[in-house]
Amino acid sequence: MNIPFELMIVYGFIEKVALVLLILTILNVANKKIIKIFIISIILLSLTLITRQYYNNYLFLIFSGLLSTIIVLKISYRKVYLPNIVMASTLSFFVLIIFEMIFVAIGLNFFNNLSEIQLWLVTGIPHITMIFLLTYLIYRIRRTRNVLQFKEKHQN
Amino acid sequence: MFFNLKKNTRIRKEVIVSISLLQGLFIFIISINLFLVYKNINKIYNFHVLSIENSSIILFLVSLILISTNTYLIFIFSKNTEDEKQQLIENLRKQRHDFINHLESLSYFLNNNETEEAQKYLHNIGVMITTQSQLDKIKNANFASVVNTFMNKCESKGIYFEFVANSELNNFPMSPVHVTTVFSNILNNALEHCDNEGMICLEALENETDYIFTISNTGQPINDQIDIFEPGVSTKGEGRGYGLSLVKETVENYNGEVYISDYFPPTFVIKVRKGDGNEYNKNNAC
Repeated sequence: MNIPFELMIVYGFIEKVALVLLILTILNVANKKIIKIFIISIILLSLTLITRQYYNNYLFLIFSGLLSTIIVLKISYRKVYLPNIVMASTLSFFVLIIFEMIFVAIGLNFFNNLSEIQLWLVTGIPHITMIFLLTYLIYRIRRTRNVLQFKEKHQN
Repeated sequence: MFFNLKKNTRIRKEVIVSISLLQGLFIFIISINLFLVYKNINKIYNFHVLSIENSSIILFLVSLILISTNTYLIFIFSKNTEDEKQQLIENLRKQRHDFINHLESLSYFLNNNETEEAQKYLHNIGVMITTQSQLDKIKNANFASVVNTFMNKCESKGIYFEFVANSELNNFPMSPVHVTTVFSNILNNALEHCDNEGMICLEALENETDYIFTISNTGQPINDQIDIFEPGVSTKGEGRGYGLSLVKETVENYNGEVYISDYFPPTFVIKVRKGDGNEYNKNNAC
């Protein structure tokens, strides 16, 4: 099946933004400029699309994606330690793959009569939404914890 | 390397966790690869997948490499930790031995009613211990080693050396080579300039924008008629006078400045601007 290139760009871009946001939230990076996140996402998307064009193997695609994410983030945020970036990127890829596979498995069971492109979208949108939700959840938990710690410190 | 594995225990742990996570991810992806083959999902995503035989071979090889790397790292880290512990015990032994010697000297002074000498001796011990404890706070290993070497040199020449710091020099922008060039030159100059039983003081301070180092000594006043930062200009005779010009040139490379704030007692100030942490890479050519 040939997925339209425009659809791959739009879908892939939103996925990359979600992924980068999740990694930065796990890393607890303070400087989250939207323009920087957009540029990183575009670079990662281009690398993924190039890899897909030349060597479209699932294993290779995931690992080259992980490697390029680590390198691009290390270059963009020089003060963050490399092991932290590796940890956060690996965890985010875990989350990405797990959600993707769960929704694909559900989609295959419930939407037998959909075309492959429709199925691709139906399974893709929830997993991106879940990553955004997870990012927001981590952000809220961390902020609440910081507020509680701050209050505790000043009450004592 | 992007980080110092030997120094930071937290980073060591994170490296091991990262490698374990990578192992986990790899095994997970191989399982998904098999799942894709089994369920024919690869057609939806337009992926090529590995056959079961190839997956097994790659899984075996990569796991072997990652496990070996992890084991090697754990081995190195445990060895380093053991070395550090031994070093600490050795230092404590030395300090205890030294402490007994100091007590014996003090007891001698007090038995002979030399209270002034005893007071002076106590003051010196106080300065030495304060300097050592201030030095222990410094996170920049190279700066600490330069100061430590200099402290031993002063001790052997009978010159009192005091070091005060309000900064840990955590993200000090200078490269290790330049730290040695700047501080060894300026401290050795102070040592040469200082009389016997004189005193040298080094302050390392930090404000919002700069790192400020003040180096002063109790030697003769500096001649204010000459510019001692010019190459070849020295008060010590022919063929000398390149150290301070080198210091100036190096400090200016980091958007810093070096100047004499007082001619008597001779006091030098080095200001280095805090940067975004990239200066080390920019000036890391040597």
